[in-house]
Amino acid sequence: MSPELINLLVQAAGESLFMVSVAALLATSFGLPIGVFLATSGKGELFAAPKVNAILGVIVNATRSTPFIILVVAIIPFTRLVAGTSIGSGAAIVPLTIAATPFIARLVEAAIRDVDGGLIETASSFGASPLQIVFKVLIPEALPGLVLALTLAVVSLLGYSAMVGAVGGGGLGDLGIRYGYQRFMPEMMLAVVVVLIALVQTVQTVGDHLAKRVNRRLRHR
Amino acid sequence: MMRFAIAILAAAALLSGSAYAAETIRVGVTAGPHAEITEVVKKVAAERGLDIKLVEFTDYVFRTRPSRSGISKRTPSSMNPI
Repeated sequence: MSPELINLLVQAAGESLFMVSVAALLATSFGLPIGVFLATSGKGELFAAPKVNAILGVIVNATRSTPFIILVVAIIPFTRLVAGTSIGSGAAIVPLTIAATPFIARLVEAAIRDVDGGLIETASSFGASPLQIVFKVLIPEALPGLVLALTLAVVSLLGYSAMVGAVGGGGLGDLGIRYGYQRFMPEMMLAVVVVLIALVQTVQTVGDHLAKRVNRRLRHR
Repeated sequence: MMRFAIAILAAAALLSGSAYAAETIRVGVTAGPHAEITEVVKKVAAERGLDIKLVEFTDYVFRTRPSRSGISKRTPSSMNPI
């Protein structure tokens, strides 16, 4: 591969990392509270609000069922409003965040629901307030699951980011399509895939390692 | 034929560029042949002192959308500044 192509690859990797990391950060800060609420607001639960829960659930499902490429083009006016432009990597963060937030919310919900109900009962019989239960029992207990969920979300975001080429977002997946497919350079596509495999492996290894480290159940043994 | 096409595109770029003298213009192009041709245009234009920045879109429709700079959607050019 020529130095020019390698240069393109490095640049695209930078764009991908930028888009995915910012989008993951934003989506986590929105998705985590939504997920916790979804997991604790059912009938007879901590913050029982079954109606709000049902409505929020429908919104989350609707966003999750919208194909990502449609979401990207459908919210162009909103993207322009938020990011000031609808073109480029920065603008692509908006649809990426909106797509990842409900995904993360559902993963967080599953991780929180996985916490032993007996622990919640114990904590409340000791007089813990609902917020204390969330921050001192549910989140610490679910932390390994949460870390793995976020790892999964980051990997999915890397996949999503291949589609933002439609709005000139760039990034690795887009480079693979533009050069590998549309300019008939299979070696470029292969290079992109190899870089992506390395990236995903790294993310997953770090995620697994972190999840093990924050596992209280293992540490206390 | 190819040379002719490049000359036309270069002329279009230079014409649209004259209004933006001495600044970079961003040109939206469709990925593939369109982008490859415009890369040559970019070189030719650079020699004559016009800086072109290419933004590649994998989607054709989006590239032809009217931009905020007020370029008419009806501009039938393959060289819309964006």
